[in-house]
Amino acid sequence: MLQSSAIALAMTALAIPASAASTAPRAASSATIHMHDFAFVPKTLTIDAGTRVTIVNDDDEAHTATAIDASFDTAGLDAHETWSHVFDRIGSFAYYCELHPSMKGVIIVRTHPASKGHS
Amino acid sequence: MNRSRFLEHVGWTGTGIAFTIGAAGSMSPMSAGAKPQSIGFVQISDSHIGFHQPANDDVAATLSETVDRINAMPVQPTFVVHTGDVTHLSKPAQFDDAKQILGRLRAPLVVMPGEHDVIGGTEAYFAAFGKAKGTGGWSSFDSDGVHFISLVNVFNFEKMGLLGTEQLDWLERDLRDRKRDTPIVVFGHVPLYALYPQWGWTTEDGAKALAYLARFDAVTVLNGHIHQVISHTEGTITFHTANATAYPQPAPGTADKPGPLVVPKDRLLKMLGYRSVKLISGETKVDESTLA
Repeated sequence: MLQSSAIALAMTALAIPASAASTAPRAASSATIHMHDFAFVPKTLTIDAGTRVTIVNDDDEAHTATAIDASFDTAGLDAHETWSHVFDRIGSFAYYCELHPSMKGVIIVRTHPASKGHS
Repeated sequence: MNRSRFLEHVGWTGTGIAFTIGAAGSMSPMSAGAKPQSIGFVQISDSHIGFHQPANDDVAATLSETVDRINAMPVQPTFVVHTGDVTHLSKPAQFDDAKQILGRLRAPLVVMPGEHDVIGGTEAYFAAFGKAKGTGGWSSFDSDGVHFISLVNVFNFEKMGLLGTEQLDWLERDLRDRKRDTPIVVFGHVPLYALYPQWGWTTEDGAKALAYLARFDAVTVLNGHIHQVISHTEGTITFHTANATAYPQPAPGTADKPGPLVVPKDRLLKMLGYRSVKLISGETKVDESTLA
């Protein structure tokens, strides 16, 4: 139950189905980032390692989400296209849109609660 | 010009290498160094091949119509310059489709990249259109007494537009020994001046390039990127942004954000087109043509 709460907290401001936040320990979580009105929403996303992040382009304009450290890159996402990636590596990953560099965001990947005390 | 000749030509002209530059990089005697007479060329821009949205559901057709109209001009332009965003997402298939259409041009083609042509890197663009030898992609050439410069301000992916120190140093050297009465024409994708920085319609270090150009008697700067015609003058430098062949964008400040503007089809064709430019004894004449 404690773990479920932690996951739910990590999904703050995200439209995550209840079922996704109440999965069994170590089950894959998911989160969504929207490209909306030339901004990443949420701008900062904190997730547990192993979370699948889906990026959705809500705009009529193409965008990219390109990590500064090159650890991930959606390449060109046309209007209403999506892209997904499982974030396993712990760290803070800043990214931006190549086409509109003023669009910036950060994905913070932290240790999965179930892993604490077992490493 | 037949297709095989064009494909060879594209290899020469990619990123703005003049069609007067041969495979070994030497100038062929087109008319370099001639007295200022007259030269006419056509600018097209922002074709976004691969775009499939309500703002224009057939960008290949509107580019193809543009090519047909240029080919039908009674006097063919010396060259056609495409000022970038040939493709929408930099995909090889989009470059192939674009080259199929542009390959029908009767006049030689000069191409430079927009940010939509280098998503994820420059490899696909250079594979399609080649790379100027000895530079990062920028280049210059002379024709009919006019000095033409192709700048690239979309290669820094975290700041756009940006020319960068290497290119600015090259530009300073390129201009250093030229006489002030040499007519100068500059091509680029993103506007070189602060047209509307709120929407990224500016080149962050463009002022440095303009400082090098300011001493010349007549400079014409032609850009794309904003999908509409806006003219502006600073001293002896005149700027003209171009209509797209793909879709219009809102005028600066008239919408919350830039992006594809959906308008009725008959109005759309009035907002797409190409530009004819004539330089006669240093005087520049610009004519806009739409697809309506």
